[in-house]
Amino acid sequence: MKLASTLVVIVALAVPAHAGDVYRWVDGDAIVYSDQPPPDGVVVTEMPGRKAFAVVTAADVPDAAPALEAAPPASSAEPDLAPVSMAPATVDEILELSGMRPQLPAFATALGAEYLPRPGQLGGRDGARVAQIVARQFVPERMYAAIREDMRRHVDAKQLAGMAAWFRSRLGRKVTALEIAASKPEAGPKLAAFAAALKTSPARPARVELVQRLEWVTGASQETTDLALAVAGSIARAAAAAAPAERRARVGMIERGIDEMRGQMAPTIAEGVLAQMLYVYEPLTDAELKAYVDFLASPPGRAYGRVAHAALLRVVREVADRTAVEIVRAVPPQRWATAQKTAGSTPPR
Amino acid sequence: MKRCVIVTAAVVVLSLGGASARAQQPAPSLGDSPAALVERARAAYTQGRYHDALATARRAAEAAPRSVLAQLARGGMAEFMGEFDEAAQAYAQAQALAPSDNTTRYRMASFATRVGDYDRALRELDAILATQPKAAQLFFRWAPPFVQKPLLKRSPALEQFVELQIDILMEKGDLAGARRLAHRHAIVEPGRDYCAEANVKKSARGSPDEVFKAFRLAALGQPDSADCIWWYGQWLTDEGYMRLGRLMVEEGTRVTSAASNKESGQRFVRIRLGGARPVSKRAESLFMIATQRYLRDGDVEGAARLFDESVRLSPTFARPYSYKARLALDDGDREAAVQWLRRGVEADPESWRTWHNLGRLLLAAERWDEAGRALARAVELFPDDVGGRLALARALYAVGDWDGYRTHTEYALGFARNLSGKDGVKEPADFLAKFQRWGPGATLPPTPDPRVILGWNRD
Repeated sequence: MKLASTLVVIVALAVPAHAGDVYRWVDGDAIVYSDQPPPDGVVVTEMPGRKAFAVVTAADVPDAAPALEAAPPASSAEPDLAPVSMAPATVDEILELSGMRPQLPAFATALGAEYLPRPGQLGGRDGARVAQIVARQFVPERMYAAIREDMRRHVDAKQLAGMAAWFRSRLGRKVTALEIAASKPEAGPKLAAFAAALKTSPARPARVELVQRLEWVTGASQETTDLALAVAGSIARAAAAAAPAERRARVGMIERGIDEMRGQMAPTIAEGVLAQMLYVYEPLTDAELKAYVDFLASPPGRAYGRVAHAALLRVVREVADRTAVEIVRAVPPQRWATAQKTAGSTPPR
Repeated sequence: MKRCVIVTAAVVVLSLGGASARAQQPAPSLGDSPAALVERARAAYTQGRYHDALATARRAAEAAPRSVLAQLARGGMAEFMGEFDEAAQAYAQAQALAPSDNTTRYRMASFATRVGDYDRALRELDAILATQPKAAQLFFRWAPPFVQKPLLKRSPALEQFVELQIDILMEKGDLAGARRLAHRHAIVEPGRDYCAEANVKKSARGSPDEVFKAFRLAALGQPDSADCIWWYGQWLTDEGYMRLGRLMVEEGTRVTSAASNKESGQRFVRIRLGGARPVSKRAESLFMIATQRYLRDGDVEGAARLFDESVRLSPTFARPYSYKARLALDDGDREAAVQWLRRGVEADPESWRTWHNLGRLLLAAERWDEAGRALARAVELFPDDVGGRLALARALYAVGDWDGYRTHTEYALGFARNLSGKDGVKEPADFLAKFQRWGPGATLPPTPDPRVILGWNRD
């Protein structure tokens, strides 16, 4: 759950306002950005070694598509929590069933995209270098291995069994399927439309209460903020370290600045997380959603949330710091600034 | 800007020859002559380039060791930057060159006040007065107040002279002498309700300088206005004037008739002003200049050196330890910051704010038990510390002490709401409401440090 909320919100924060109009392709050794489609025969770029870097536009996604095909229709009946299997659980199984592993590639792509230059910000060769570094660092498999290791170290057999009871249940699987579906790029525009519609037709108070409680037991807003700041902080630290000694910002001041950003970001993120939760779990009945919240508030649910959050944050911080340092080494900040001056101002992300 | 700061600024400007107006014009082309260097130092000062100003004034004094103007320029800038030994040397040199020069005497008096040598300061002022014709001296000393008032009004320099005399007497601890002088020169008049006027200015949100001056007059003109004297003392404390702040708070506490106010005043002196550990004037001045060099100029090395010197002169003065911790944090060295704060609470175990700062730092490091102990000590010393209570509540929440979390949060919210409304504590209140509705959540409670009581966040 937490990863799903986090991912969708991070993607939402990362996508430029005009994302629907941006295209990117390779021309020789240069990466070209344009608000016009590429010439015929040119293929939109792929991140080296990974899935396509998809710039999804609203037009790409049929509005009428159901939120989740895999999920069974909502029902007002008692939630189905009967365990499907009583076999001993493994960390791998939990990470698979919880959706952590399946969502990591998209999550890594979204976070990695934060480091990529904006259109016109860098020359083609520098842009390609940055893209290579991002691809080399944001490897989902490596991130998964680190998270799995943390889970193994910090979760005991009893907690694992409690997690398995939920994640193996039909309802648990249904919830995970909803979260995975919401983390896909094509869900972005639907979520945006859903959030906009909330302003004119707000959710039922009982539903809002449930979702607020879900946020309370998961801490999804804070997790999202932590992850976003891990990226912002890594760039600030790396850029500062590369600055000449006389102009170098002091570490503590950078951290203080990042803390201030936390305060500024928090309301936006909290709002985004709530809208996203209302959207993701819309197909669930109140009883089903309540069962999910109850699981997350239970000792095994709390243990999962706590350990998964800490592991994910640790991994992201490490990867983010390495990525930023490498990027700054490969393309010093002044080159970004110079390129930006030459190209003129670009819209904020 | 407070009075002492104004005096300091005025002195620096005087020492540089009243540069502000001239600084707007291009500097005359005089090459590297001492006069040109002094002129450049003036310009640098008025433009806020204080290091340049000092460096240039030094060059001027070195180029013309027998120039009083150059020596005064050097002394003024060195004093402003907290380089007191250098300032003393430059002023002494100027005085040796021009023993009868009243400008030099006045500058020496002002400097002596800054470093706590009040007798020397008064002697210099007496010497200035002694250079005036006998009749003028007698007139200035003994003319009745109704004559003094227009006299001072016509002569700002004379008024400044009297005000400095009053400041010196107050800082020296001779409040009765300061009041006598203020009455004699019609700075205050009998029967006027200065305290009420000050409160009106405060309520009308007048400029801080105006409000500050009004309360100073109340302290001078109304010896029984306990609340106003107390308020003046608090303000001085907030600004870092430990010595005068203590004198005023102690005076307000002495004259108040309310037992609770007496208790409150005694506690204030104990937990914010060092209690039985008074701070030397020189250490106080160095501390204040160091904070300016750090916060205003970003001069970390200069500030650190002055903080160190302040600690050396008054090892039990807690405030510089908090700043040393902050400097360490700026360098990303959290452990060194913790050590500075630990030294601070060892130096003054009743310094509430140092315990508070230590607790918050340990909280940020997620050292819950240690943070809890430090914050418990902070709220024991100052039970109305809203930010400290909220931080303590977080430390307790982190270790699963739900009752402790609830108790401290409710106390903090109740106190803050009574004093400043709900806005400053909205987040902790929302968090507590959710906790009470749903039980413990995944995140820790927020810990704002709202400015509930004037000045208490500034130590």
